[in-house]
Amino acid sequence: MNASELYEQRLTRFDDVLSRKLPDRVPIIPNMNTWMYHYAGISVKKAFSEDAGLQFEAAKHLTDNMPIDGLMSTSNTVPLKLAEKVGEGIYTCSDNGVQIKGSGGHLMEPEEYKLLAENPMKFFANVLIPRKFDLFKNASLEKKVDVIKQAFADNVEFMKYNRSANVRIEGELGLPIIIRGTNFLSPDVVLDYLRDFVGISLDVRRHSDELLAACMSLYDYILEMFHDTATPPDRKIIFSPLHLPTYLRPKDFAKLYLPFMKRYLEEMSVKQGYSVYFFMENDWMPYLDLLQELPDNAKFVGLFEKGNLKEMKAKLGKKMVIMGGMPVSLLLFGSKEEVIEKTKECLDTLAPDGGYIFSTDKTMMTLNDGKPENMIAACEYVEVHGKY
Amino acid sequence: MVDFTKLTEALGDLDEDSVLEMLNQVMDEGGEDAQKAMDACQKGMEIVGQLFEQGEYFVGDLIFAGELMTEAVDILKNALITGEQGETKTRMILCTVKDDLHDIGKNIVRSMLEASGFEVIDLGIDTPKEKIVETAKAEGIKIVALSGVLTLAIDSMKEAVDALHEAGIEGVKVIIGGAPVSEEAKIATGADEWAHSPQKTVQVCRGWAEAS
Repeated sequence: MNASELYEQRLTRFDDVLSRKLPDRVPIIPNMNTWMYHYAGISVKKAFSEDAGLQFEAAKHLTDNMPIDGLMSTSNTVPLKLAEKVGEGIYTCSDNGVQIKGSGGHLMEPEEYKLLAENPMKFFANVLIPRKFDLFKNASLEKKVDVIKQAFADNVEFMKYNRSANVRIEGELGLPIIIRGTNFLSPDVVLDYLRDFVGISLDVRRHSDELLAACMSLYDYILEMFHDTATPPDRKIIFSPLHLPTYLRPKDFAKLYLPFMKRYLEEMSVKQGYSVYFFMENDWMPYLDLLQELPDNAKFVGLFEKGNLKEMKAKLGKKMVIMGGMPVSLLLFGSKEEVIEKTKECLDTLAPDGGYIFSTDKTMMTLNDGKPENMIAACEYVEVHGKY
Repeated sequence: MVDFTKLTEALGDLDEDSVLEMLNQVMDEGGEDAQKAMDACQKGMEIVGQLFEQGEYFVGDLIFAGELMTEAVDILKNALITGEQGETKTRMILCTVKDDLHDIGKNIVRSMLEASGFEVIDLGIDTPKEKIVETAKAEGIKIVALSGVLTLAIDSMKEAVDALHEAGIEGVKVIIGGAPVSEEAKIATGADEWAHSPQKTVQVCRGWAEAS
């Protein structure tokens, strides 16, 4: 099979699962973030900024060694050069990968929710950006415009850089890169960039109505920005990492977060035809009953980091595609036999009737997230025994 | 006079208004009962920890509880200084290990440990093993709590444990905590204990403090 046939076969497998058709077998898309660079002995930093060919080499090393059906992304998702140009951002890149610096996301006070709710764009442009970046506080208008232009140019470069790798990975290896774009749900923007953990945890109890109103406006602004990019619905998916939910009590989740998941799926998937991928961080077991409110006719995948797979399949299996199942801790500490046993359990529990993508439960950053020989054993097992 | 059982309950319920009202009343009445109020709040924090273990409370509630304790200490602190003096607290080290920049779990654990009567030397995030050893030696520390979120923290935890042992610090105990730790990780790192919940961390450290 040549690369383009392979690409088609792999993407069809993914398509089928999302459309709730039975694919020829369970798709294998481990949540391999920067793990693949470490596995190939390639510097993450170099692959992300100096030589896009290294991204291709890392992906090639993967497909040479294990049967996988796609990469969620090549993981180079933060334009660090741009952030550096406008002032320091909250992300940092080392050879271990990209991380958010602890508690760097506190930028506004709860009294300002009203302003955010009134007009998010205005509040970002006139209040938050000058506050965060000195350059936008003191510089002349010409200078500001110049920096913005440069930042845009950097972003275009960054996208071109990544695209050059993606084109080769898809074209030469036939390996689909699944994520097409990323949207944050608005409460996560508040958590990650505006109020941080402590701030939002206090706001949930002290200012929940103001927080909700601000998230409503911000939600519209985010989707407006997304639609400005004119990304058409296609066979790939739009990614949203869900960060805040499991820090909340279910009743707060029901008030402050669930409405956005629901609205997002209804608008993006049911009405507009996008497929959605939620990274469901941490343990969602206390929220499974509430998730019954999500639409039945949306195309969406959830990668669960923790929880009881059997119960998830029973409660959500008809509503959404479940992704995950293989604990990275087992891939690191377990024997090959234990890994195979767990892989079998994942297939037995989650694969019946489709709607399952085999993956690791957590994002794999370094080789501490799984021994290569265990990863290979798991993928090979699914390749053989995951056939429908 | 404030009903301290009610204060404990209010803190356990994370009823901020009631807690602040009672603490302000203690101070309005001259602050003589500040230590009793502090003890009541600390008992309330234990309830918070238990409710978290039972799945009633979530991480956001622990963060809120930590802030509530900070507020309580702020209100009571002047009266506490003139109140009971000389009580020696067990001192310990807490930090997020090298290469890991997450601090939210560490900060929650710090507030729970402090509420439980420890004096916590917080070395921050991305902490090199040398700094841990140096501080342990200089301050005569016997309890070290290492936090991490990423799996690569396991390597750094092991390095820190090895370094503490190599430095020959007698009787030092290490607990590791955070998302990636487990019994296997405990064995792999050579730590003495592991925990996913702040409540367990507090219990373990308290056990060590009492035994020493």
